Amino acid sequence: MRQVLIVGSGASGVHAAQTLLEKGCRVAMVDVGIGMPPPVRPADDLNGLKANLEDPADYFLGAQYQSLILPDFGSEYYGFPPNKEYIFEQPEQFRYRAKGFSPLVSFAAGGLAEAWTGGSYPFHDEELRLFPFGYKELGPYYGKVARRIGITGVEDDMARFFPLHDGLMEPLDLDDHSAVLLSAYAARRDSLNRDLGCYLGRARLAALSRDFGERKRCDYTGRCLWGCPRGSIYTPSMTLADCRRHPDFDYHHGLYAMHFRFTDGGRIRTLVARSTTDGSLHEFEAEALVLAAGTLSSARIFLESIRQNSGESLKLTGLMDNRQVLMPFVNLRMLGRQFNPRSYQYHQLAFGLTGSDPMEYVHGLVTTLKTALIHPVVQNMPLDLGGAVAMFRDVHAALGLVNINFHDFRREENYLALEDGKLVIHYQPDPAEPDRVHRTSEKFRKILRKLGCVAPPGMTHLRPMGASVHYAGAIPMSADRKPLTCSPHGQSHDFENLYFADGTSFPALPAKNLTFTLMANATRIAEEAF
Amino acid sequence: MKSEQLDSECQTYCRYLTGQNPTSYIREKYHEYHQMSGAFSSLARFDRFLLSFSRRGTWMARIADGYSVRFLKQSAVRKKLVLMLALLECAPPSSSYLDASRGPAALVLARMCVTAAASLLALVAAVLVLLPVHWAMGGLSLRRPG
Repeated sequence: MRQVLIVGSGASGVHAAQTLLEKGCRVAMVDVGIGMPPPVRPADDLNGLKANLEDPADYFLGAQYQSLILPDFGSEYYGFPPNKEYIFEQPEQFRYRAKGFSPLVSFAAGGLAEAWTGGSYPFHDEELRLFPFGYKELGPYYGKVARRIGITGVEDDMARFFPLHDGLMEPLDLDDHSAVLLSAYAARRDSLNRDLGCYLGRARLAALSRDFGERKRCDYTGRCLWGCPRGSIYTPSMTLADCRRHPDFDYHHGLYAMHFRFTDGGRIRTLVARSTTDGSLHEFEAEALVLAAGTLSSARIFLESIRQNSGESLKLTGLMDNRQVLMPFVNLRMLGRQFNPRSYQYHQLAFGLTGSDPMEYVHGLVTTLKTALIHPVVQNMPLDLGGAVAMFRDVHAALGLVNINFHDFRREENYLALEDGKLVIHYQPDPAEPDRVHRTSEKFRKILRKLGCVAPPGMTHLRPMGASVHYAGAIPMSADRKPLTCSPHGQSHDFENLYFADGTSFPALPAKNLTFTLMANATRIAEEAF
Repeated sequence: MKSEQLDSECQTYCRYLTGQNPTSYIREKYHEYHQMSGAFSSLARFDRFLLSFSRRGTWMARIADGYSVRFLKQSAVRKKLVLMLALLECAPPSSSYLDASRGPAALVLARMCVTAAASLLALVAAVLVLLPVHWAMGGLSLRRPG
């Protein structure tokens, strides 16, 4: 029986693990694996929580008020829910120094995708142009993952950007605001398509419109942001739980993977990990080692292993992330309508904006701001707070936010390295970026106007690099056998029994959320390389 | 800060934002945050003045807030008002109040115009009353930097 050691339980790690288990391999997983707190009052909807919890501020703002966003915080429009903070807890061993980049890393069971908003957007052939395979090779694995986790979607105008694959279930009920936007689009579709290269359609979501195994379909409690108590929204910890029920799966959690040891011939022998509780060292034999700890952590393990062996300090170039711009808007057609908190809370619509080159595609996610905390938004309105509250009450049902995503390419000036035991993260935006962001933002304002919406001036927010958490590109897949690259199956060109199953190996980053592709690619690697 | 001052602040700010008196839960959480954070322990002279000015009533709070939005975005008044709003949105009845506005679009638009006009009026009053005080206290430079 083939034995495979995987580091990390995120989107890539668990789908690699499950696929390997299905193939009859024995799988061990090393993970810090910080666990999530149990759901609170699972039968309540959001307003039920506010009414029934003994201390609702403790739940919504945190015991230390850590989710309270005061005016000196910046311009973020979302407070992160306190009950999801475990996702970003870091063991003391992880240290970094970043320039031009605000990294988010996770050591939670399930990884960063525990905070995933479910957007499941396959890359098409043009977006895979720099990958050593195309949609024909990857497409079946999108279908396999969709059947495994449950994805809703339909064939509409956005199918030109999101290829159709197997396993899609019928979409969720559309919230009122999204329905109004979609009907405004239908009325102006031709001119939006022709004049602005703009398309609008239903989002593809890893959220259930019908019961799926032990998981229940969405019942519109409005608690998405606060953690779905019914398991309707997929998170990798669900697949991890499935793996843990398998007799050939060993889950070693509470361990921080430090580095691997290898022979002079470039064959990995063992993985060294340190306990996050008592600091003890543990060593695991590795017939084959799969790094799936996320781009930053996988790169750190790789760099540290070489440094431990030879003292050499390498630099991994080509770090990528999607730049994001948040553009709040008011839909004039929704003014005076009743705000309905009982609806699906993440984005239900997606914009596609064509560019001169298919890689210039810009992806927009439309969230219609319903049950998110309002104080981060209200304080950014250009009025005194009393006026802003009154205005907000009038426009609450009409508020929306477009999260505009831009693609990224590997560039030499963006790199990961190790210095004094710290991961050094260096990112410098493309010099052409400000112009691209400005032009695109203006285009979105125009599109929103055509849809009967107004994007208030001064409220559009350029998120820092690192905020989208779509990291990729440090050791890219390459058809050529070059050092610091890997094969189309994620096999390292430096170590014969090392595989990269996460975003580390992506040679380009289209504008779309990459989580679904991470899962599909990890499944592909596990299926074809072992 | 004295407990009575916090109570008066809590009462004024809650009425300013929602037209309602704070529940005992909101009062308790407002006090708790101040005990826990220590964020308001050392304030600049004008910031202290603005705070005591804002406690005198809902219109004073609005004027101080309007001034802060334009000239002192990170003032203690502004932070405390945002704290109050965050608490109000967590629990009924204020959470329902913050959600509950509706009506014909024309009425909503008219209401929004009135709101904007009231905010503008508050800003004008703020400039007339508070700008000279701020300048006199040395917290405001009328020269452009550089």
